[in-house]
Amino acid sequence: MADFGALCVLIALVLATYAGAASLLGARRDNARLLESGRAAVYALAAVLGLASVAMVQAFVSGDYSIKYVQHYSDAQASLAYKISAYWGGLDGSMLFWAALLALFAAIAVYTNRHRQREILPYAIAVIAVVVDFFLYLIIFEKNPFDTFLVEIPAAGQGLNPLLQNPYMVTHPPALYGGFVGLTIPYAFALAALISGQLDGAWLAAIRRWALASWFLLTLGLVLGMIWAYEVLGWGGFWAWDPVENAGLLPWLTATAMLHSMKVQERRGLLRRWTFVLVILTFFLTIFGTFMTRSGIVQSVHAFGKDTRLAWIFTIFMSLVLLVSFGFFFARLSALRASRPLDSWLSREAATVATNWLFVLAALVLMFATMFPTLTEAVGRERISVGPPFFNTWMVPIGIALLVLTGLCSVLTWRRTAPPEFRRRLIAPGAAGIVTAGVCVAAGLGASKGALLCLGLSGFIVTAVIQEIARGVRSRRTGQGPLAALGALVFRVRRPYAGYLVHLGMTLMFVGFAGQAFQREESVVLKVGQTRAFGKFGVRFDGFSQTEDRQKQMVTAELTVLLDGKPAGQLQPARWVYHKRPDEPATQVAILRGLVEDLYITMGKHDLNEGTAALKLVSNPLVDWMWLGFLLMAAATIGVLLPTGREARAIPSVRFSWSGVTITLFGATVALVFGAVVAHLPWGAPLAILGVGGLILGLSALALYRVLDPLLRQEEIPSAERRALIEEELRARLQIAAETAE
Amino acid sequence: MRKWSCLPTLAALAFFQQVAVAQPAPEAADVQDMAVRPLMVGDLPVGTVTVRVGRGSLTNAAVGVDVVATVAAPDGKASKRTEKTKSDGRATFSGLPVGAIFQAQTAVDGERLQTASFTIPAEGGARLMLVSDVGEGAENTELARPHAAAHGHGGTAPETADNVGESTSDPSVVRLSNSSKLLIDMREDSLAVMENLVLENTSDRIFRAEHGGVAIPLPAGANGVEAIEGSSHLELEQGTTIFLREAIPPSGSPRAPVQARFGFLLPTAGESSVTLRQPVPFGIEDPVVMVPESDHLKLTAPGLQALAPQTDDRGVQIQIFQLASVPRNGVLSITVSGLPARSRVGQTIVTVLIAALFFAVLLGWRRPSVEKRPEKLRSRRDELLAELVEVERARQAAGSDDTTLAQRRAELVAAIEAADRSA
Repeated sequence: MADFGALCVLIALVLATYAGAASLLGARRDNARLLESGRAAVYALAAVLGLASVAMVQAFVSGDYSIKYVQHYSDAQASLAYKISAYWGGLDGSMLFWAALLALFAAIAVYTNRHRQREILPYAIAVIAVVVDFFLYLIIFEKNPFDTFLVEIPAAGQGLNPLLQNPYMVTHPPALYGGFVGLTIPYAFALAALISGQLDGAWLAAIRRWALASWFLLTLGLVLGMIWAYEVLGWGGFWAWDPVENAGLLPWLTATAMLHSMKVQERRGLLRRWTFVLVILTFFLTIFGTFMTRSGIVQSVHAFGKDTRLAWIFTIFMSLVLLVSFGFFFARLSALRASRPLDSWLSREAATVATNWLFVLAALVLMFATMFPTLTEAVGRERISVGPPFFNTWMVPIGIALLVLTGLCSVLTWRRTAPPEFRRRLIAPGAAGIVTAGVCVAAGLGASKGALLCLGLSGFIVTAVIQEIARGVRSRRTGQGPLAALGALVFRVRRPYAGYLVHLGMTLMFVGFAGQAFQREESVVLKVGQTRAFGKFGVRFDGFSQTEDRQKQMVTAELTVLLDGKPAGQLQPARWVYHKRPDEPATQVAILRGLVEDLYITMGKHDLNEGTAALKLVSNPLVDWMWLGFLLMAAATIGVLLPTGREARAIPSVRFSWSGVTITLFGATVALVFGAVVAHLPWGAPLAILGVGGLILGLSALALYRVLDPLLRQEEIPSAERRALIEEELRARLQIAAETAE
Repeated sequence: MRKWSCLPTLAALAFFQQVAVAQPAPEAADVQDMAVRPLMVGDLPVGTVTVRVGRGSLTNAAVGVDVVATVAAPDGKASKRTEKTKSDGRATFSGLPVGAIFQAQTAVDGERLQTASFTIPAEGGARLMLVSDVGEGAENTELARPHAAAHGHGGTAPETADNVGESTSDPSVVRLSNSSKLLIDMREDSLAVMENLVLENTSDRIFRAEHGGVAIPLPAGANGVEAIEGSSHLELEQGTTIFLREAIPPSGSPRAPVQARFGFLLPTAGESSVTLRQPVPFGIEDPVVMVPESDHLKLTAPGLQALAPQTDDRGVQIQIFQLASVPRNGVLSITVSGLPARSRVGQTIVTVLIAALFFAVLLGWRRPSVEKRPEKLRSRRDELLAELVEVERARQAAGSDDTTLAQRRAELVAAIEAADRSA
């Protein structure tokens, strides 16, 4: 399996290079056959890297400890889910996962744009090919996950770090990587537009959904990471400004600014330069984040370890990215003037410009503070770390300013808002903000000025959004009820109103952040039978329970939470000691959730003989508002990502073809895999791997055939085929027209 | 010591040391030798060292004796402190800076005694003992050495003083004797090399190196250098050279020979053959090389001569070779081939293919001199397609029954097809 995987990676490197070379030459020489072959090479690349991924998963599932990476990150005792997630659990595998995901995204992007962006697409393929080549180079020459032991093959695996054996760690990295990798596609199209000189808004239409989907995945990854930190690490919080956390937040900040900028460009033809700069910066920061976590340049519990050589390779690549991207950007600078000037500073686009400045400022501060220890060391001084107080000093005011602008964006109109209208629109949200702040002070939450401001602004934004939606409903209500009008508004004019809901979700998340200002904790040692009062709760220690499975020993404290003297819930904080890592006991957090506050309990030292347990009791007010806010954001974003009715009508019906059959079969096989895994059949996993592997092998063969076919084909293209291509091109043009109208 | 204590090496190391003893064996450490070694303890506060002085034996405490400590602070400043021994014969030095080099001396009944120098540890303190009128007395202190190598500290430990007899710093009197050995073992992506270099002083004076120690260069690429138990005091500088911080007594001395015992890893980077090239400033006389028995492993070196194989404690057969002597300032060169290697064929083929693609792009970058699809034809096609889009939108708006539009649509498709065909 190691040889097969390594061979796939080698073939992938050649295919990626070929895809770039054929596309560039095809575009340069206007050669349709080369272009077609280049596109097919991208499909083949995705298929071959899919095969490499299957080989990796198979090695983990079958416990092939001749592969160093497998031996290092899994053992026979791990469950199937953790064996599979070990694929991206380490440095080498995560890079293969990255490359495979990028190849898959590239194949989808190329397929969906093959008739729409004929001038740009070849250059976009070339850019993607260079990025894939970079990661494949790292895999083949530096960090090959298929490297085998040469001298002595260990009989057992070392096992995945216990902290990573958690459902959130199965989902968090793929979501985060999905976001990081997905942001390569907008970059590739933007750079392709700069290279080809096709600077009209067409490239934006090609990447709008990619940008939004990637941003969503990045947000999902960050939130899953926060939940993991909150529920697994056991220190009571969810964000510690750790360098690796910041590595994920950096591109998120610029990606958010990028989305706003793209919207203004599409709507008003403004901020064209901003959009390009933000796309480039966002991509750069995804690579920079990867560099931070994988080179060891920053010190973090989440980092993969120090590797100076890797750091240098990343530095060279990042320098090239900046040099080439901004080189083309400055070369086209004169052609990137806004099509019209800003009408007024009292307008939504002006507020968006200010938002962009703040997002970029936040990214710069975050980058500087994260790199500060490295910078101080580089100038020959002692490594000086920057802690959460520094981050909070800067990021809290920026966050509050962003909240202010979020509220203003809902109040301001496009182009120009007349001052009397602006004042009229401010009345209700302003009053709501003041009332919210007053209620908070009355409830004893006035101690933290920042939190109070945040909560007041949240009231302002929520009211502003409701006011805007109500205004939309009123304008739509022509002989229909308010609910029907609301439904029509949300489903027909989806994008702007989904945007409002995203803002609303974000505001709820800020409510959760504000709650952290009121966090309190207490450490207690309880004997069995003792009860301790903590805020409005009472915590009674009922005793210990001890269990053991094949991986670990578990000591659980049985606690009863009392509210007004009556039981309100049972909590079981625990300590798990893994047999293979006895020195790293894992803390199992117990949480009693509530919209007002979470009661969060962890167990430290304990004495089974004396019946005592050291407990850390933490009250986390409003924390669940964050998760609710994210759910709202997620629902709204997915709503925007779904095609509108007009778009759905413009999508060509699926014709019967071999590719259609293979796609259907692929879907069926994926469904089978999940079925087998869920059913825990002993032969489920091997059968599923065999099925998926066989199918991807078939797809690879088909794709490779399609790479060569255009080059070897001698006969004239039949008339029917030419006409079919014209029809497809027509449908694509109609779809663009529909999107533009939308 | 962790990397040298894993299973295959452990047995080999035991064998290595056993073989070393079978030659001019180092004597067991005598009481004096043991006494001057610091015992690191956790029950003393950080920066505290006690020196217990005995007269004849430790049970006979030397009370009221001045113990003079020389303390070289990490910033290089040296100072002296004097403490008197108490009723239990113990003098206590406290508040010493962590990382400083400490050495104490005293005189009991005219006999001068001196401890080994060592680094003040970051945790706990240290206990030392000095006993007069034992064995060869003060002369023996000259060979006293810390119990473990102080590599990695990077400090400038003062070399153990020789108080008796004349000394020389002429390097020509020092050589590596034919008792010197190398053990080479296979690891993942590296060779584990352990060296036991026995230094001989051919003069009748004690040799003391001029620049703070005897420099032993390491082979290029060596990493993970560590001293091995039983070695004389070694320090690693800049990762490339080991310094032996010890005086070397004349060869005829009854004392144990000075031995530099250390190990390092030599990366193989997945290659099947690796050459160890180690400069030998003092030359080395007929060194012995040991390699665990393997079907594939092959050694190549000047004057290589196979000796009778031996079996170690685990029953592993060890191949033993003798090499030709290396002259002063020569290079000890041993090529180990037959190592399990990673195939580079795939990487080479891929590199060649990528280079070919790169050149193809460069060669094909120039646009063809005659454009296959003239600009006029292309703009004509664009016009036709734009009209087709408009007709199709009109057709969809009017319903598909409009025959005029349907006919115009068919004409346009045919015209575009013709344009494509001409292109």
